Amino acid sequence: MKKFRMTFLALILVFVMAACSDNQSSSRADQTRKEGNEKIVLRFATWDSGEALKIQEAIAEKFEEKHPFIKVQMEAYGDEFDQKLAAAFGAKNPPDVMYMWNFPAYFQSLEPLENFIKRDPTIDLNDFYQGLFNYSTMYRKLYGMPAGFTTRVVYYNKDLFNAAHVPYPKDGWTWDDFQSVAKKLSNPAIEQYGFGVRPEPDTYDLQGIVWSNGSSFISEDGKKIDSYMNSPETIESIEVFADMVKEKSAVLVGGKNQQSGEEVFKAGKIAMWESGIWPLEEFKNAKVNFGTVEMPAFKGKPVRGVISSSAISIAKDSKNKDLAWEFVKFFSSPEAIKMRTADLPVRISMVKEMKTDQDPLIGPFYKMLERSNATPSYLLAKNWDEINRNLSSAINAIMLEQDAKELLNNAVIDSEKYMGQ
Amino acid sequence: MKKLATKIKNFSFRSIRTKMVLFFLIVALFPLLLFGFLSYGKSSEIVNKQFNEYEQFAVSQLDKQIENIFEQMYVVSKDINQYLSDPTLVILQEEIPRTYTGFIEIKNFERYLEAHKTYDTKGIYLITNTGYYYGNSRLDIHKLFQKPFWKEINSLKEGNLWIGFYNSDHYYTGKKNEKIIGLVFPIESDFGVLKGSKLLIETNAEELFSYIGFLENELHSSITLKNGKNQVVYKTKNSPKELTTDIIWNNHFDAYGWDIHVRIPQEYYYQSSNVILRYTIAAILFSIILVSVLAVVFSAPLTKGIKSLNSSMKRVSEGDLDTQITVTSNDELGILSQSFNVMVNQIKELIEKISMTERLKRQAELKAFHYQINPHLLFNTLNSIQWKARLLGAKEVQEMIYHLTEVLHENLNFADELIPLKKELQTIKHYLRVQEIRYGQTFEYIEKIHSECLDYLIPRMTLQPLFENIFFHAFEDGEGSIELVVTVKPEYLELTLTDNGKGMNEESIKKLLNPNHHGGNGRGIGVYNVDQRIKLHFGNEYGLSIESVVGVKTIFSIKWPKRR
Repeated sequence: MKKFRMTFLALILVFVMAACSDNQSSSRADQTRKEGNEKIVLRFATWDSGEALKIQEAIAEKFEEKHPFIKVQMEAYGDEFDQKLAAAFGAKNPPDVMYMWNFPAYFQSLEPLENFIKRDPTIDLNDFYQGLFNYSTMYRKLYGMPAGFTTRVVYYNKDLFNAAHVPYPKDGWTWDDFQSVAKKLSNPAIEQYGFGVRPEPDTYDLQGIVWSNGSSFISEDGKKIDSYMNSPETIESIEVFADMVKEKSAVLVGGKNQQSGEEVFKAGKIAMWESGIWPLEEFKNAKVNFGTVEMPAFKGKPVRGVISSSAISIAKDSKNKDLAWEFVKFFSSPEAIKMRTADLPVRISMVKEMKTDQDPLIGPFYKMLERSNATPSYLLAKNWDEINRNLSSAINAIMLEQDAKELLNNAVIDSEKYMGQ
Repeated sequence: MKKLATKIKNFSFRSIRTKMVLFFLIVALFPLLLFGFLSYGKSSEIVNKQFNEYEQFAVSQLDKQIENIFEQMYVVSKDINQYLSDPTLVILQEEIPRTYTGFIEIKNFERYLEAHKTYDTKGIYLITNTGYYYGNSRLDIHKLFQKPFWKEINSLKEGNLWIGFYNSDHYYTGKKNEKIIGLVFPIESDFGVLKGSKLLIETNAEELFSYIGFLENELHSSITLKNGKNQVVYKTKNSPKELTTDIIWNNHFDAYGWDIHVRIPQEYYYQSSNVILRYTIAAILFSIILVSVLAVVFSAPLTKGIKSLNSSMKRVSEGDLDTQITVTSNDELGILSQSFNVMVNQIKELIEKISMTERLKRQAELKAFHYQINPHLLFNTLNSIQWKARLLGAKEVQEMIYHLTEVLHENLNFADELIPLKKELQTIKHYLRVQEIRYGQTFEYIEKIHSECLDYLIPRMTLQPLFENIFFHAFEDGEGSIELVVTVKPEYLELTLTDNGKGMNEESIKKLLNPNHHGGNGRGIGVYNVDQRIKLHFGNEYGLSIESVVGVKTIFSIKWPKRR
């Protein structure tokens, strides 16, 4: 009896062993599959890089802490943002959430946010600077929550002003003031100029100046460019820069094979530079002794500004729209906005709480925000990209000291075919 | 542990426990080895096959990826080249745009270039002979010209192309250390701006390198990429030494002249089957230990039983017959213990019996010794009486003492148990002579004996007790007649002793032959002893029988075998 029992046990042992060795190989494959299944992956595409990207990664991490079952996959497309986003939408495999500014081009692939906002009582739209919603609204539907923005101001190098014994510019100054100050600060012999002009500026950025002169590139209903794009006021406002280059109180910077304006400003070779908030940290880090001031006005006319805003949107083809909305909401929540230092807070309460507008370097941006209520051209005309190509070709040529009136007339004539009937 | 070690040391190989452990090991190991190595063989074959297919697939994916990138860049370059070399399309009037139409031309051309970008395209640029370029303005052309590979580009002939890896540090924005695959293609055009210009197409190679990294880390492969000029453009860092046993894949792209060389050390190639082998061996080792432990545990009570049996046997062999084993189980061991107990008891009884008979024999010998001492005195005395009687002239006394001495001599002789019949008859003659002297010529004695019988053996003192019985009980004052007949039967001898005395009844005969009816006084025991002695010597089928008719005669008959 005992003998049998033991043989039996030994046999059982053998079978168990054999079974064990078989299981071994299959378990490894299971493990890897499980890891992939554990979390829901939320793809988030951004055009930012460097410091700004790090901030967004930190916000995404905070979000993951609050929603442990979600993994935010950052897709930093950088300079290839448009190219990659277009490819992703084309392949019907877009990121769930993405940075967005060019709503006319993409809004058909984006999810309208009204339904989410209606269902969500915690969100308070009135706390946002209302002007920002203009930039992410298409045909009266909201496609993006404001995430950050910047207006445009004039940076000036205090050291150069001091050296030339020129008083610092003040809010309410005019383009005449601007031009005379630039002249005083220019010394072509040592390659120092009062201002840097982009030879191929983005027409978008120039809109603030055109608006300030009481004109626009396109009629408010988006149906007319003749006598807007080529109006004397538009011509005057664009010629401001071309004239300065002609008079050698400004220099062309940032063209192909040229140093960028920021580099030249940091090097102390130009006294003034017009831009958004982006280079502010860079200038601080470079220990440039600088100040900011509102954009100049045309005599007797109010200054008007243009906003560069970034919004955050949800793809129509996203498989996790509810989670995507949670992420969008978090991205525009006070907590996340507090972390965003690369651009300006979009919530009124946050600005008040952090006294952002009291900062002398930041203050002018908020003053410009108050002056930014016009709608940019790309939101008004369907074929703005095509029109803009003619407009910018004209402006590029104007910066190279060619006749502004003739060129803008050409641009209008060439663009009429793109205007909607 | 120490205890165990000493225990193992004390383990004799002859011990049943060792044998049992060995037995179980063999019983367990044989199927285990069989199953283990069968399953190892099969599963490793399958896993190896799958893994090798997977590896082959993975390596072929690298081929495909590289070829796809090349192919795509090549197709784009061909397309752009064809567009540029169409003489009916005057595309670029001025190299560096200054006029409205110039700007529009270039914007359109740049848009054309942009339109060729796909997801992974880093940049498409047309670089003129003077160093101006078309394409987005992120390119820092001076840095590009400083790159070592650009020197090669200048000597590149029309129709040839250059493909290589480099970093993205020639861009104003974005990451500086991205890996890029670049393709440079000299434009085949002799017209103005385009003469000597080169098309640069760059594709982000991060994904390719992450795949290469995957092959290197996960499959332990070493990868070498060589370009058309047989220059190594990529080689795995810290790759292990090349061995002839390495598994190698080579692929050559004819169109671009590139070579892909992937090497996997054999140990990693067969890694998965090695894992299975290790686990199988581990399982066998584990089962050896388990079997040993189990065998020891299970054999302990068994060997304990055998050991106690063994020690009991030893004790018995040393003489302790009171040894008994407590029986605890019903198995063979229990039965063995039980029979051992029975055996010990039987031995004990037997030994008691033997020692009893030995004791009795010893007593008898002592008695005999006692008697042997006395006869000397008796015979010496009788001899001297005989001699005195002869001297005194008492002839009858002398004669009587002579015959008595002869009879006594026989009676007290213990030397031979069996004697020839003639000797017994001689002793009877002396006895009868004594009786004759005692009673006078009162009885008649007839002897009818075949001479052949005289040498056959008969127990000593067989006849005398019968004669004594006749003289003491059958005759009165010795009067009567006695007839002794010995006849030879084919199987045995028969002796009849007939007297014509008083005779006896059935009861007396029974009493005479049954010793229970006799006390210790010795009366009548002689006849019983005769029967018993014959039976003892020759077996129970022989012996003495008595027939009698009261007042007429008594017949003693003895049957005994022929012995010489």
